Amino acid sequence: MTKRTRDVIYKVAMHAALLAGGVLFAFPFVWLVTTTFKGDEEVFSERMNWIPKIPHYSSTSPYLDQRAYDEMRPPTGRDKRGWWASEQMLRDRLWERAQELAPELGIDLPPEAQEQVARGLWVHVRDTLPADVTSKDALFNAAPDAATAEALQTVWNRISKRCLVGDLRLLTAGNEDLLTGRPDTKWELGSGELAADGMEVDGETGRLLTYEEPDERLQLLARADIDSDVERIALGLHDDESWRTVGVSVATPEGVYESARPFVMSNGEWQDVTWSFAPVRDRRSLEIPLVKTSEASAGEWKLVVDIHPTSPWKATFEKFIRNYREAVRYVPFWTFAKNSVLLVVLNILGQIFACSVVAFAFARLRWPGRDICFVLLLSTMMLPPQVTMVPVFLIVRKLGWYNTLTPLWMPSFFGSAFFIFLLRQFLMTIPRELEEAAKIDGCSYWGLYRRIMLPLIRPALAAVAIFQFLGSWNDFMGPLIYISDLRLTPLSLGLFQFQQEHAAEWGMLMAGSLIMTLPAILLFFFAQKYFIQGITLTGLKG
Amino acid sequence: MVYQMTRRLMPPTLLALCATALLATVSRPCHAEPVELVIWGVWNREGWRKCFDEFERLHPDIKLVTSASGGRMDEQKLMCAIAGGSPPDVINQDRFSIGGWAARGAFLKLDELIERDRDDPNGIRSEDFYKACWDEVVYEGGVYGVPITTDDRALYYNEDLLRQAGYVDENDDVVPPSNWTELKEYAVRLTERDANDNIVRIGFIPNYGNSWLYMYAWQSGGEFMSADGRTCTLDAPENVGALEYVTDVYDAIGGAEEINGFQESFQSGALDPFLVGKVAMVINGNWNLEAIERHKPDMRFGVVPAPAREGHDPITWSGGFAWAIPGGAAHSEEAWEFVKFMNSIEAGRIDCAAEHAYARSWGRTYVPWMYANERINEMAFAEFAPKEGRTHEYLRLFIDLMPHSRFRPVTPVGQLLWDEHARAMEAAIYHNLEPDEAMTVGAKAVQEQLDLLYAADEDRPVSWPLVAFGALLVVGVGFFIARPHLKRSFSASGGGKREAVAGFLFASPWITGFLIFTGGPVVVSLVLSFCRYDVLHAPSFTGLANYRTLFFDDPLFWKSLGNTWFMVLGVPIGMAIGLGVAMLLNAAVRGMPLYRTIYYMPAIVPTVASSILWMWVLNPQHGLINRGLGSIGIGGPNWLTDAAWAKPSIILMGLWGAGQGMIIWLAGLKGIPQQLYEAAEIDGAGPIRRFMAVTLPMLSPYIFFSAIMGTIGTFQIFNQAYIMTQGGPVDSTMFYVYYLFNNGFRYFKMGYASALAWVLFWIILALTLIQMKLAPKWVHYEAENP
Repeated sequence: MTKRTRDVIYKVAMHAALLAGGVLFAFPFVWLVTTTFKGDEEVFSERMNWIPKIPHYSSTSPYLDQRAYDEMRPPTGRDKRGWWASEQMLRDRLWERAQELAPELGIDLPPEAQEQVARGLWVHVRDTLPADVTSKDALFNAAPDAATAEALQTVWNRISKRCLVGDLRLLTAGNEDLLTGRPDTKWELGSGELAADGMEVDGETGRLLTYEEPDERLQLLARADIDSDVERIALGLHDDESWRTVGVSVATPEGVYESARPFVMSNGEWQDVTWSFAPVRDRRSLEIPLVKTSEASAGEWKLVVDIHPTSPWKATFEKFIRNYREAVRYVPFWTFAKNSVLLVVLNILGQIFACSVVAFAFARLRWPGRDICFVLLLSTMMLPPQVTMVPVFLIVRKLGWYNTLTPLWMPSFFGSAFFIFLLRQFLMTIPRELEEAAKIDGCSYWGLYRRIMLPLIRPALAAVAIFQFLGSWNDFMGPLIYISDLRLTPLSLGLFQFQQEHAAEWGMLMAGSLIMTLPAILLFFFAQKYFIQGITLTGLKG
Repeated sequence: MVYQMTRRLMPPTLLALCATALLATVSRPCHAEPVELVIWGVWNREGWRKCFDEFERLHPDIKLVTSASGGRMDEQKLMCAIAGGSPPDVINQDRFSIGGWAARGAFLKLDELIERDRDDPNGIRSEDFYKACWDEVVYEGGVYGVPITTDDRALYYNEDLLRQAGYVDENDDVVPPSNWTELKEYAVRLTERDANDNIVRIGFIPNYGNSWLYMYAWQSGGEFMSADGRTCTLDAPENVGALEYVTDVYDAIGGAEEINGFQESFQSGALDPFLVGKVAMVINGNWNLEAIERHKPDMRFGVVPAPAREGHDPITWSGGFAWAIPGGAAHSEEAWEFVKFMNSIEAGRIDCAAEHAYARSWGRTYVPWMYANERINEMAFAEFAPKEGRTHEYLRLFIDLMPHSRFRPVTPVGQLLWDEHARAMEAAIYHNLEPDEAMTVGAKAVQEQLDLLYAADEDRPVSWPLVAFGALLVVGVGFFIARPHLKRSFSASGGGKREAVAGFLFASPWITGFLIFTGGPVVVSLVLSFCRYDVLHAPSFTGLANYRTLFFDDPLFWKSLGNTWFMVLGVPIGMAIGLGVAMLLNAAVRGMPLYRTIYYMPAIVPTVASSILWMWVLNPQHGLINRGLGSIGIGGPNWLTDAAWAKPSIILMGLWGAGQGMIIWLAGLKGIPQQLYEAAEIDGAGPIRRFMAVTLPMLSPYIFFSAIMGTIGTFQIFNQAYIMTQGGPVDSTMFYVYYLFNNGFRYFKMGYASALAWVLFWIILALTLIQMKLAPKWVHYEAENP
């Protein structure tokens, strides 16, 4: 075997091992990333899905959602054998039943709905079957009988995606609707078609909006004659889950206002979309602020609702960034990030300076009491910090540092025992000869530290920087105790509190976590060359 | 000469001092015109935000500064703040814990304010509140909070499943169970297993949902405290009977181990086991109505008062939150104004309207929470709850149950009582103890604590000047004894005096930090370990009492020490894997920066995310690991819910973060001069020999470092228990520092916690010294002093 072949084999084996390990180490991260792209119903689905769903794209509305219901599962606790054969039969029976029930509900079932309607009905029927239904034939008979009109209505509501426009309300600061009892507001439509009569869905009435793409954007227009102060505009809307974005522009006697951010049609339910003239003080509010874009004064109130065209790509994009958008909007993100960055920078500077200096004293200088001090240094790590927490807090308060960022970075400038110990170990590996040579050249102790030792322990300092970065970037216990002011809160505490309040909203939580994680990953990726470069002490030993 | 040298050495010392001086100017608090009212434990709730806005509008001279933290789970924050004399002005506190804080004088007694403002339209009047809510803020006759929310519990049942099992009457209406016997019978009958005898559905799990032993005990007429609050009656026959029933039901449906394994696969939200039919009946709170409305609005279910023991009336129990004003709050008058406002009908209406709009904006049905103030609650129900349908009907039922509601006893040992009751229940259902034994053990633990609190022994205050004097004396004597040694090192060879001064100056940042931040607190904690100390009062000297209890009278001390010791065994495994990975990543192949980043990623993911992830990976049924094992025919264990596997699970999680240690290994590996390997190769050494003769000795300083730090870190393991397991199951992850934390911050026993800390300190120190003594035999330093 030549050296070349040996090398190739070595490299292939190396890559194989690295890749195998990589899968093991990377999967949590992959999971984290994919979860950020998921909606609630995907996160909590019974089957594990690694790949987030691509939203359904339809150029027309209303449309049928062909993915609302998953495959039919056998009844709980019953034999699963032979299930797949009977599934097709069952589906046909349920479809027949649905066609019987549909007319009395006034539903016009299109043939392409067969699969979804049957699956949906099965979900409703499955757990209501009497216990004695065990044989296949009994199942075929019992299942359609158990399907009710009520169930069909629910299934239909879920699979038929449609856009319904409900009430428009112009609200004053006192929550009074200025449009009540004023029938003079009516919708006009730019393109598409708005049904003249309202229909009831999920207990609320609205007018069905029919439209087709590719078309220029869709506009709804409402006019009103208003003289009082309007604070908010609320529109009842049942969206078609098409991930299209909606913007508004309002012409008023005071000027023209436009929505500061789009509303995304992603819900498939009735909801009140609210736009607010008053500044939205709290970023977490769901109200969409209106921004004045022109001073042009209009004689009457005119509201234009734009439904923008979409494409498979745009819809996917809107779906994938939703959790991020929510997470960032939910907290005063930039304030938190600013605090985090400030803390991280100060902490790293402090540790690198203080720890290297102190470690130099412990590793390279002989001074009385050094060994006792070293044991003392190690000892400080052995007492659980929980019992010194209260006395330390009292000291911090005495110093006037409570509710400031100071106690979160100042201690770094005195060095931490862990890093001092780590750097000492590194410094201990540097041969004495180097030092002797420098001393003969008349180098002072400061020069020895600054010009000889510091460059040599750069890899270790990079490691310290990374540890400290992670330490202060992720630390929430310190801020939790010392900070009670939103303006001084770092991201870590923000995420912790976010988790306490929204434990169930994984998508958003993971988006927040990912935002927290990315800087650390980037830092590691780019900083690794510093601690990987190694110490080159050519020709000193051996 | 000396002058010159000192000047060169100035920078480190000076910088540290400058930084300190700088702070004094940076950190001065600013004083704005309006009063800043600090409120803690504020939930992120649209309704409250609107209320706060309205309050600020009505009171232009008050500005609200709100913070989400400081409430539940943040005991340390509140305790530090109160001890430091900087409490918030108002705090939203779990009512259940008010007794504990009030007993220690942490909260303002509100009686006078209440009396003064009785006729104020917004005044607080006890008769407006549900009795169970009001009585929960009353400790020894004084009122220490104003209740905000409440909840109560009842039995939810799945109509379809009951119907399917034939529980219908002649009108074809579903008949839910009405007493304990029926409940158990239903539970067994509705439990289904598949062909392999695996559970696919459970009829009813006694402690799933939200009932706890409290429910069953009260249902059978039990009490947990005597009327005077001096005696813990956890082991009263009624309570033991309740526990026997609970144990009995667990056994009847398959035993706690199997049930809890099944329970581990439960998910929340739309996949809540009750919603998907994995559990047919569950005792849960009114909040569950909203979850059903949100995730499965068309579900056919029913709610009835939880079945009681035969011959007893159905009851329920309530918890909730209250506004409390900490003693020493800077603006108690404004705080009171705020509390009164938040309790007005007007604020309730603002809250509901905003929450209603919020729910609507998400396309959800609004189900109001239950207000502790009956007037607000009725208003919310009438004006904002759904007007018809199941949710309407059952919310009404929950409200009507409120007058029959009980509440957890208001006592200084409330948290301990809760923990011990849960511990007793666990011990009984896992058959580690008989129900009566388990309850006796729990009662004893609580009683001991009560006796200590009410013991009339005089306070023996600690004289801090004396302590300081003693500490100085010890240091002085130490110096005196070490003097000859110090003298010798001054006159030692080499740099001598110059080097010694330089050494001191270079070490001065750490020495300064030690003197300011560490030394004092360490001495204080040592003194406190000989005291009874609840943080909120001055410590009282009790001699060796803490240590005596700890060694001879506290089984949990030994248990937690054992658990922690087990974890230390994982340290070498972690080191070996870290080194292995680092050597792999030290190879010279393409794309290494990417590989390294990937391997490092698990160490970066924030705990918040990784704990959720691990719960999911270790899930016994759907988890990644058990699915993998299942596909090769191995049945995996129940991991975190199995007392035998919980600790190995945590070690496993730790291994996966091996990337953290990898950095140090890599830096060390890179520091090994390549010539050494070349020389070894020329001498004919193979890869293994090279590893043993070059790599290991050259890495020994880092191995030493990792061993010491690994031991120290593992002995202080805390987060996993705090975030993921809370010490369970059956105390198998009750780690030493978590136990210490519970004592210090949850049971108000900081003196005892300090004693625990110092015992741990000596253990770790002994191990470290042993390691250091052995070090010269195997650790190889290039710069070894001659």
